[in-house]
Amino acid sequence: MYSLFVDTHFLNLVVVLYKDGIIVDKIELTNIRNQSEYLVPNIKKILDNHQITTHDLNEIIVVNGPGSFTGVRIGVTVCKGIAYLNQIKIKTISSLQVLASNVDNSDFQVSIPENNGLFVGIFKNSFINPEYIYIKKEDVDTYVTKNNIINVDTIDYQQVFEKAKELPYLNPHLVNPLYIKNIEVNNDKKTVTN
Amino acid sequence: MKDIFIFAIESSCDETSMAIVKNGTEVVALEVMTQIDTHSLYGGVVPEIASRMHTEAVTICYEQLMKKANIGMDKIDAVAVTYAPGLLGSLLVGVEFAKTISLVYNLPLIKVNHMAGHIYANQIDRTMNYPLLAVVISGGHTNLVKMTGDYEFEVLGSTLDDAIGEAFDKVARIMGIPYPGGPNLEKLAAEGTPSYPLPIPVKDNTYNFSFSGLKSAVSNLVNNEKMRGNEINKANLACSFQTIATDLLARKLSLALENTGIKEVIIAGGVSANKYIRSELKKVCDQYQANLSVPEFIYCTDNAAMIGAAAYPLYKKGEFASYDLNASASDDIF
Repeated sequence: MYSLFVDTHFLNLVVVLYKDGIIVDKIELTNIRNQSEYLVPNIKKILDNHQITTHDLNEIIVVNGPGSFTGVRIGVTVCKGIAYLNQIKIKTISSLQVLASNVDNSDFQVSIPENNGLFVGIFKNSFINPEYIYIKKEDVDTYVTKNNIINVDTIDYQQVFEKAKELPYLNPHLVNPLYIKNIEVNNDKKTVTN
Repeated sequence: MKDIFIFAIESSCDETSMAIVKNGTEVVALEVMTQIDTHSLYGGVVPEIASRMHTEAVTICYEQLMKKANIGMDKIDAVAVTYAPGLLGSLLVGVEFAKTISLVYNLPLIKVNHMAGHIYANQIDRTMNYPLLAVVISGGHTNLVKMTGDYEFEVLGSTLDDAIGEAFDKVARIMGIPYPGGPNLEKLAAEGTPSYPLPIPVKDNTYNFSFSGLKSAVSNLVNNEKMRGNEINKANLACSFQTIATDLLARKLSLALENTGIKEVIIAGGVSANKYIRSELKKVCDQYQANLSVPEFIYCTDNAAMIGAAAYPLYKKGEFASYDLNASASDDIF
């Protein structure tokens, strides 16, 4: 039983292969601009290393944001594609849940920086349904002083896998990025909500 | 000879499209999911929204296509995708999905330029005979191109400023014609007469085009009439603009036919859907006893079938892309 974990939410790339729930391989790249050039080559590499193909996968876990719009879309598009085409079970995990799965606590916040602003995940007794908010650049300092945001330095992907067991499987058609921040359209007052 | 089936994807702007094309010329199945209703709320294509909608649509588009097609993926020989030019975020969704299909079904990947796609739309259900002159007219291009063989392009002339489709859209915006501006301007023009005097651009013996001055003239005319408190006859102004813009295309094509003696002409690009332009260029071709080929209407606008057609010569040459393929907003074939 093989599971594949993919994260491209920020200038990064993480591909982890689990066999029977235990990590057997991991590729982690940081500071990459064009994730498009790296994702499929590295998925292929990790599968080739273990002499399996996408058909041998039983489960896919993909990080669906928040983060870089384009980065998240690359991971989500490839993973929903693999899942749909092979009829593999798929679930999404947010970038903030990835951090939270490494926190041994029941009431806490974690954050991810974005263009001087901040994505915050507020976890109160629920790993599955946290509250997600976006703090604008000008409000970040105040928010950080008033709230206890836990800093997660390293991520244990075994722990991520264990916590992801709580998350539901989704229809691949409905696997889409998680957008927290509104986008401005044409600099007028129309914004797109998600 | 074995039939070659290519699975093709196009997502460069606001249409998610997939197709299966046989031997570069026969469309087995085509699916086009347009986002036009969403973008019309904003008066134009919003790139971030387009990218989001492509991501939501990819597997659905695939499913709908495969329902229409009476063949399975086991018959497919290669996967082709538009990698440039266009909206980067939109292109990336198509490129990544194409790589995924290629990985899952172990198929070669072919990268196709969107403009080559528009040209090869003339290969669908017909044959391009070389040498030929291609009139490439779209939102980003206005070129007169001589082709001596597959992917052998010699640019005779290009626009010095705006592309013709861009000019149509800008003029539509100036006149308050709703999105999509170009096609709506054409509809309006059909009800008018060319009564407004507008300047005639590029009166020389080059093959170059220019639409910016014409656009400015429309803008000035609209503003002046507004200041004088006069009503604009929109249909007549749309018709005047379209007539002058089309006349420029006709004059340059006529010059090229005269000078090269070529007897085959194709029209390519989204603006080739314009019926007035088609009929005026047909008149020029008739005058020189040249054959004119225009894609069927559904293959004029963005669609994946043309990408499958353009991929076929690349498949025959064995020009395959690797999985580190990236999208490009601006890569050009000319």
